[in-house]
Amino acid sequence: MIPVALYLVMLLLAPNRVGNLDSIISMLTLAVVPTITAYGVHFGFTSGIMDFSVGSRMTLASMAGCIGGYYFGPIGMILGAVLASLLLATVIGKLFALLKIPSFVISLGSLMVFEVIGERLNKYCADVLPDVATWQYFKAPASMQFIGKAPYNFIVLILIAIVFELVNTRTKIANQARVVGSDELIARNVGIDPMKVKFGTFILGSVFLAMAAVVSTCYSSAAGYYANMGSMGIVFKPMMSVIIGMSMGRLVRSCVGIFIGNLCLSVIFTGIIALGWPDNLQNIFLGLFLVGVLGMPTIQRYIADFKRRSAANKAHADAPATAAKVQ
Amino acid sequence: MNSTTLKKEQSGFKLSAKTVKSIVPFLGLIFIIVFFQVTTGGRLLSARNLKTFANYAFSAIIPCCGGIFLMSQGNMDYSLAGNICVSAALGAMVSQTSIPLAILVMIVASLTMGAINGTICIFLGVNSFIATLGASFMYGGLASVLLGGGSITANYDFKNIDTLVFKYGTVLVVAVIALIVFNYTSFGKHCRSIGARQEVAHQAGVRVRLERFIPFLISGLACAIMATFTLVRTCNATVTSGGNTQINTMLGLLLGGVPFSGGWNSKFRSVIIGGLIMAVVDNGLFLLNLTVPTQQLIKGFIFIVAVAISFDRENTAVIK
Amino acid sequence: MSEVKEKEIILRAEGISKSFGPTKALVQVSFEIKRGEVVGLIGENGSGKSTFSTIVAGIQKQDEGQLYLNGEPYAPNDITDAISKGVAMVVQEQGTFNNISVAANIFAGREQQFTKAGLLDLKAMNAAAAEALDKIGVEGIDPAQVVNAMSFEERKLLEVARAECAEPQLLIIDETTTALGREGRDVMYRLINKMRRDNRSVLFISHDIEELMAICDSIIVLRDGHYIGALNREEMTVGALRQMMVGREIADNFYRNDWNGRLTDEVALSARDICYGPMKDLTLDLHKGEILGIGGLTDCGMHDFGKILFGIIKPDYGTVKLENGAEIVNPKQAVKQKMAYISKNRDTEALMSAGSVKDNICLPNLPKLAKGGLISPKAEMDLANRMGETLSIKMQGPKQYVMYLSGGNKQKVSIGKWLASEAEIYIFDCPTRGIDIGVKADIYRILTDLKNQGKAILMISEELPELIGMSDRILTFKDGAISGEFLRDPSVTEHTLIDYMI
Repeated sequence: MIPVALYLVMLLLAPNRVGNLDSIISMLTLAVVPTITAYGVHFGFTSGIMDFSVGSRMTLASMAGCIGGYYFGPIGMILGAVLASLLLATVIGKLFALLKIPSFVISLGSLMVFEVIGERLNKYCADVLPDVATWQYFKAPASMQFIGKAPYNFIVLILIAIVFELVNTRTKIANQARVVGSDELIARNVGIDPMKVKFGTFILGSVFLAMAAVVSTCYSSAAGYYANMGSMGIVFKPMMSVIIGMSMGRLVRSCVGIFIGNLCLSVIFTGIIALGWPDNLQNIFLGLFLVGVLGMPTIQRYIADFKRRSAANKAHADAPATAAKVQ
Repeated sequence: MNSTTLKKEQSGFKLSAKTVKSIVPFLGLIFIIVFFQVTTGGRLLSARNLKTFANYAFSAIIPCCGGIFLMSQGNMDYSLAGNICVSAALGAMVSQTSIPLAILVMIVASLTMGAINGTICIFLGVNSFIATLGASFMYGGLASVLLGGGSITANYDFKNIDTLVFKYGTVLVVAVIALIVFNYTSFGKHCRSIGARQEVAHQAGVRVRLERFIPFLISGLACAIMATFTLVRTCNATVTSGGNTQINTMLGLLLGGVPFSGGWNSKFRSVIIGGLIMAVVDNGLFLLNLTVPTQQLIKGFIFIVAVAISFDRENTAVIK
Repeated sequence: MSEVKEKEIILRAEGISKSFGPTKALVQVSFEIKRGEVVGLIGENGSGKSTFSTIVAGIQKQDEGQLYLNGEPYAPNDITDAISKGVAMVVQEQGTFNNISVAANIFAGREQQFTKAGLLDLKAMNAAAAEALDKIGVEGIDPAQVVNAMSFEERKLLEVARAECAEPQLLIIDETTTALGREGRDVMYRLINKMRRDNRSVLFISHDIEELMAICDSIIVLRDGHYIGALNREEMTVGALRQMMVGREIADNFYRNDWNGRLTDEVALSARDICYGPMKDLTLDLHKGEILGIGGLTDCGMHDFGKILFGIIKPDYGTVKLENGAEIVNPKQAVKQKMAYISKNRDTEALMSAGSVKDNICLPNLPKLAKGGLISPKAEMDLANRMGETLSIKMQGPKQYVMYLSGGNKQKVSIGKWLASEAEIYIFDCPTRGIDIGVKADIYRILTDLKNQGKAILMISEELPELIGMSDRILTFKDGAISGEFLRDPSVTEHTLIDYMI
């Protein structure tokens, strides 16, 4: 309902640019990659992990995918991305389990390292494998570039969504991630090892991240690297859409909820462009949204407190208490 | 009684472990200075470098002075770069009219941004890292709108203040003020109490909400000073004016010995020692002609190692 | 010819002891539970019931003594280990997980049995959950639904289903029925009877003497960590049990020597119509030169009430006012109005463990110590040393971190910071919890001195002897309301009070 409502709002504001089929398709298309990324982020997030290294890991997976794609075609691309992603997830997961420090510290430090590795890899491959990479980016294998275009990208999304739904509801790790995320102390009491579960979420999530990397590369026919910790921003839209999806939990399945979340975001961002507002306003809205979505629980609590107090006040006003005996 | 003597032994042992932990940052500073002095062939401590070093010291110590109040409570400000950029941009624009006005504008702007950070973190209940991270996106976007993709030139009169006296003098004044407030005022002690155990501070009559909000303003003030500094040094405001301030500040305080979750082990000397360490590291890496990515790589490692060593695992039930 | 089968012994405890610092939670407890028997365990707060049951269930280990299960030595490493050996427990607190289904809750940690080729067979898990619920006689709960909207009682029943799923030989039920309504209790009783029929045993912990007498074959009484005795069906009477629970020698000068009441009738603090949680329209006055004792079971609301008086919690309705008309709405103001609050949670609310004695003592007193906004380290040390001497705090010096002090000395630091502030109104919550006798006596002396100086003291406590020994006046809380008022008098005994609390 909400994305439709948002769309209607946008429609009212800029009927010319927004109210046509192309526009709708572009909004849907824009939501695809963040959705798949969100699937990858979902498991860790459920168990309480904050992981900002997602962007840098996806970059490296994309690069591995391009190399694989060059030598072994489509299968190679997928395999390359998945293997690289699994490897990186193992490194980060082990680090987290071993060092026992907050997840965002590890993810921050790791992303700094991975970003640089990405940049080095790019420059190196540009020299050694000029057909695969230029100085600025890796080239996506031509055979796979069709994935970036409709309707193939939607087909891929639907397939991945089905897999996600299966994994999310049927695997032990996903279920235990929810348990750990709900109450880690009680979870320990029923015999679950939170560290093992969290490690598992990294691994599980990395497969979806690899898929997101592949699709993203095919979208832009290139895989670029980030510098100066710019890759941190990648995780925001997925994180927000996961939260939005969770809040819709009772109405729709997670895979759909997350997509709807991303759809909302892409409608807003497309709208910003359509209204002729400058591009950099996107970042402002991104920040505002992140804060709004995360601050929701506190606001809800304020409202609940207020309601309780008003009810108590009303009860006393309506039925003036027989003067309670003072003791 | 057996338990008391046992405790005495325990605390004796722990006492020396604590003293060891407090010397480590200082030793680290000496080590870093020696390391870079050697690898740069003596250029680090040369007279010519003294001028450059002033810039690095300024950029490291001032934000740390602001950051110590936040970190002693277990919070952090990740929006420093964005804050500085916006401030510098506004300052540059206004400076063409009047420099004192520009400085006033920068102070107001940075304080406002600090207040926004504080509101999101304290009143909306968002974790300080994410709150300021989100805010930094907003400020970054705002900065690029203001700068319109380029840069804004400031009044060249700013260059008049670009002296060593100004730099070292400001650092001294700010550091001394921060030291006095942090160590000798109620507020400073409240900050550390909040980091040690927030509920205890609350039940002892500390206005926890307010006093968790104020350090964000202090951090903002530090950003205003940094923005002024940028204009003084370069007479220009660009998208990179903020640089790596937030990571440097975090790293500086951590390496200086401030525990990740704050509390009573947060000492002011961490500001000076940690700030100097980061200044030397940055200066040294620059003299060694290492590229920015390499610097990032090194800092990433150091970050994880620093937290791994100093994190208080005993007092944390659940590590997320 | 009828055969009387001697029931086998399923659990034997021999000399189980456990201490937490100076507090002896269990002292050489030994008894047996037979197969097919429902054994009740009763005792006051602090008698050791929960400690014992958590040791048997595998949550913690005993310091001394041995457990035997079916004749074999039994020392479970954790809960899962205990369950695999046939011992399961339903705890007192909340033990279900939000955001997941009923079935997922019941089988949390044991999903392996439904996993085929890495994938969970949800249908099978839901079916098994339905079966489990059926076995304990609970109807109308859909295994696939998410638990968030379910009531505390329904969720507690899920925990029972979870425990029963493993078909334990010994089921421990820890004060669970107190939170359940009529239907919930019926479910529990049916299950207990079923277990008896299946020749399995139940260890049933509860405060409700009538309930225990109705379902248990025998009742074991613990007091102050000691095994006092067991009464079987024929011997059980309410009177006999009460006698065993509370009969104890109270040393004469331990508490107070006098039988005087409060010094004045001047009201220091008044609470009117407080509504919060279970509390409805709670109203009382605290007088100067009075020790007002508040007693009740753990969940009666008295602990939150103490926090409301100090402004830590904002009630849904009601006011707290002082004699000068000031209304207390937050701790900062309370401190300014010369009030003091000592929380029962020493290490998480009253003291900064990772902080020095000096920093803890000076914390509420910083504004007083400040001259021109600045606080001299010497002034802080002087204050800390002065309190250290006044209260005889055993420490290595004011700079020592509080975490290294013993419980009693920690409590002295906690009190010290408020003595230093020269407060007029004190709110103590469980002032001598977990403290050894020597320091307890010190603290009672401090309380008496304060009262005689005309201070107003509110003492919330779960220890009946303490309330009776120290209070000028006792108010008992039950279900959020004041159920009785008792003035200081030799005739007031623990029996009298318990009636009004349970």
